[in-house]
Amino acid sequence: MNSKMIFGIVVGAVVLIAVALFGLRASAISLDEGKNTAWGNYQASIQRRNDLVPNLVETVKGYAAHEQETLLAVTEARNQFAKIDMKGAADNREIQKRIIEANKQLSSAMSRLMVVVEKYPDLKANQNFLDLQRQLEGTENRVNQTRRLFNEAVKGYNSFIRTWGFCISSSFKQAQYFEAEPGSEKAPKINFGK
Amino acid sequence: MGFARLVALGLSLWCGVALWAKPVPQMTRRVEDLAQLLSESQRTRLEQKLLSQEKATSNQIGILTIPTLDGESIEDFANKVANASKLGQKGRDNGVLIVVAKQDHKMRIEVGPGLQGSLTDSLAGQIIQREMKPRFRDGNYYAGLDGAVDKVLLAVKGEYKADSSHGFDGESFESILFMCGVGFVCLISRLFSMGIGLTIGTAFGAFLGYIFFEWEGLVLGAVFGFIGAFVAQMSFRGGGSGSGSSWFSDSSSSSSSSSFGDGGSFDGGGSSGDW
Repeated sequence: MNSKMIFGIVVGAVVLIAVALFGLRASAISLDEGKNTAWGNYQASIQRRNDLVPNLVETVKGYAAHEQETLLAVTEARNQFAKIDMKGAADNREIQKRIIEANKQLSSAMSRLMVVVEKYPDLKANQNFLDLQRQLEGTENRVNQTRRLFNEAVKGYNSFIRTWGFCISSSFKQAQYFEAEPGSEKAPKINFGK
Repeated sequence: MGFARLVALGLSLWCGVALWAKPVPQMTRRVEDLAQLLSESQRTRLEQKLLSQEKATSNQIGILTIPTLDGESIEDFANKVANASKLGQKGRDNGVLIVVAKQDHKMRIEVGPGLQGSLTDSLAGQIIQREMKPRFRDGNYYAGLDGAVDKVLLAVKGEYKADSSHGFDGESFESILFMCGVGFVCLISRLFSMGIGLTIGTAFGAFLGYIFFEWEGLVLGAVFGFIGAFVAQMSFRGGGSGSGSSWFSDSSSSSSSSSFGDGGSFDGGGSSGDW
């Protein structure tokens, strides 16, 4: 091996390292974007679930007009979401906490509504209501799954940053998992003896 | 196979996903009957139905039966398997996965976003109630699944048409192309001096790695390119060990899980039921 070859190998190695660093940074960005997309999906599922609430309230009102208080509570809980500015929520613990709280309120208001609905067999048998019930279960599951998929994306991103953080820019911070509270993983089972 | 494992490990490190994470049941064919609810001829008949509609529509419908959920909710399980299997076309997300858990007496139809417009949560629920539940109660699993498949096909009819270009198994074709590309570039790099040769090898290796396997492939492609070019350079100078591309006996794809579908994803849409 002469010195020209050795020099050549050094040049090649430098190119390799430069490419590797570029590739690592690009991977980090890609994982970060994936995490943000996953959050977007979660937010969309929350929105979709909330959009069903007015329909639910109207349907129940048709059969259970005097249950004003319970119906109002559900509408109120749902309106809380509009008050939260969700910009940048994917990386913002504070906003996420507010969302968790609003979810909790809506969940408990819905549970109380379902208890009330038990008193109205005509309502329970109504086709519209049954259909709504299925839609609600569907959207609640979407909320659960998109939340889980977001946490998986966070896990992938965090693992990558932890492993390769020493050679990519420190502007890549670890992301937060979206903690659900214990028990809230199970959607309020709006179950009427399927 | 040892080198391939190393490659897979390296690729998974880039993706930040541990190879040793809890495994999700693998689907190796459209109808995976792990709970043995069907006879082989019944299984094949169902699979034929699913495969022939797939050719025409590009929708990928799968059926998985398992003995037990082991405490997991069927919603979580179905979504995990559906996303791991990547049923449906990337971007279109037109996949459907029907899951039946024998001992738990639970079933679910998991629907990809691309088909949720026609196969709505409500409709999926109805299919479960009307086609699967009564027949499963009688132990008639084949009839239940067959009826469900018919109704699912009816629902999604006309949503999508298959692209005419759909032919080979995407994954292994990509790997072969990648190997050939890198091998070719390494041979070309022989024509140049060490420095330039290595640079060419690395740069094109990176480029090809990115083309086929996106960001995760870029770095490994660069490494392969570097090594291949180095081997090509050394063998040119006398006493080489054959072309660099013989190293790539079995490169793996960019995803660490069995992606036997075409890249579709699932957001939790669909419906569950029990019998």
